[in-house]
Amino acid sequence: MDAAISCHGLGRSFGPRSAVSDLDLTVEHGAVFGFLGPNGAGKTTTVRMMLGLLPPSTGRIRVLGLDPIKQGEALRARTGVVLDQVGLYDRLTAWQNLDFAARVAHISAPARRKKIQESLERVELLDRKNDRVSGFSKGMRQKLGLARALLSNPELLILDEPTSGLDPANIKMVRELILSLAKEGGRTIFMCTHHLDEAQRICTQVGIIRSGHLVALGSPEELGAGKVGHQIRIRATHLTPAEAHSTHWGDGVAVLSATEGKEELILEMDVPSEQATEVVVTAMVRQGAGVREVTPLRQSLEDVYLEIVQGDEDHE
Amino acid sequence: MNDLGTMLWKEFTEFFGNRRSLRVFGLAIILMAVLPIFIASKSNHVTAAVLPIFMLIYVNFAALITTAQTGTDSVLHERASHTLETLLATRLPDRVLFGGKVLATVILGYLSAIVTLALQEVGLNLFGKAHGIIGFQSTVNVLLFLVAPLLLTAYLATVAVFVGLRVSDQRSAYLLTMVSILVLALPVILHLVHLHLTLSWVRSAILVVLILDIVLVRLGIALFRRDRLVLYLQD
Repeated sequence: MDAAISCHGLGRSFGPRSAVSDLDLTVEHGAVFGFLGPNGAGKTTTVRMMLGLLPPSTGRIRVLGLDPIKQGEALRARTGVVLDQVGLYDRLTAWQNLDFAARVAHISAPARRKKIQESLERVELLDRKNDRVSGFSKGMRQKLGLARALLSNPELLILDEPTSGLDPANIKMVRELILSLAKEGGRTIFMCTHHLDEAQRICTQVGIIRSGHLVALGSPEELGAGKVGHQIRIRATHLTPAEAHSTHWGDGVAVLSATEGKEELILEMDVPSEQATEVVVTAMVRQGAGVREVTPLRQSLEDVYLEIVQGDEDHE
Repeated sequence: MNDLGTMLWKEFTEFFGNRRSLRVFGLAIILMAVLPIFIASKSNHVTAAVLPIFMLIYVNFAALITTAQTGTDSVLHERASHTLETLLATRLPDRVLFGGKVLATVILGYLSAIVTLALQEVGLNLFGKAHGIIGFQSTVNVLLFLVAPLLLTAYLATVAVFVGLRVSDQRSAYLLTMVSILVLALPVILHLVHLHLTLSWVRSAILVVLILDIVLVRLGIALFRRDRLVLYLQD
């Protein structure tokens, strides 16, 4: 079975400026994919190519097994979208906005009514169904946008910054909604976001794009795990900071910090592998130190992201 | 056809749900219906022979005002509220998006012409300036009253949609669209001295505008493409 989204060598240029280049990406069916990157990294251009709104300059893209340019109509019929600007009709009511989306999706009149009712209930906007959208808050708009995207029960849901500009209560509500959609299964979710904790919590797979290039791809654990095992924290007794720094603990082992705590020394160390941790602990015990606890220093997705993005800025 | 109906439903629901659009629509009709009645009641020079020409001018003005306003507003509002990109992300084909916008604008423009004409007829009869329906005594007038507004609105609606895509404020878009009517008016003005509204002249003029409309609409369908529109939005 084809992947939900597959790009090979995908690129898009605007004149001399390259927005996306040589993008290789595979998103499996049912995955919740987080697409991360700073502003101007190429996220929106990638989304537009996925939807068949922009033809790629180079490479190949297939979404739900279809060519977005040649089979755009069929593809968009199977895709729900919430763009960074939700794009609701201010002059229409919440019900009319969904009614239009349902008509576009060719949902029959009796089913339409039921579906709109259910969708509005799901996003807790049923009591505002006859209100014009012009009076809606950002959070309500975002929820209505999600309801609209889900109306046709799409196989692929593309969300561009779904919680951007929302207050904490609405962020929680939208996240829970996305999580519940992810748990329902059978639907692929492709989400562009700046909220790294959101990606870590919701996404099964994450890609980081920087200056049009995909620089990291994997599950949030895998991306963090790239660093796990390389850094450890040890709580040791009968050891001074000077001893900690001067002792050779093994090949490739470096002491990053040694802080005195309550009757113990807290060491943060770089180790070349998981096996090297054993070597370090053995060496400490042999030296007469007591080892209370050894914990891997797990980097959050945010740490990984900032390392990559700031690395880029330093490079520039 | 179903998709075109959906687009029309959306355009009309938006139009009739917007007080500003309705105000312009109503004002254009009332003003253009009242003016020939007012002129006819104040001037002794407006004879029964000249009156249909006055009526015709104002009927077409009503259609043009409504068309220029509605056509540009429908696109500019989509751009301002970021619904155009969302619309492009739907399964609706490009030609339906374009056709829906143009057709809705033409229907509203033509509707304003017909309502204006009806009000003029009623008003002139009420004020004793006419007895019965006037202006339909000849085939020329029938063509001018019923077909000319339709062809003019089709021309202007197509122009308005494209002006709305490129110009960023409503006033400029409206004025630019109205100025585009000069393309049609210029040959008429240049030949004003020799202008005789004979049936053959009117038929020829209608044929020319019809051909122009067909060319414009075909050009519109060819140019109104998602990949181009996304670049407009990006600009």
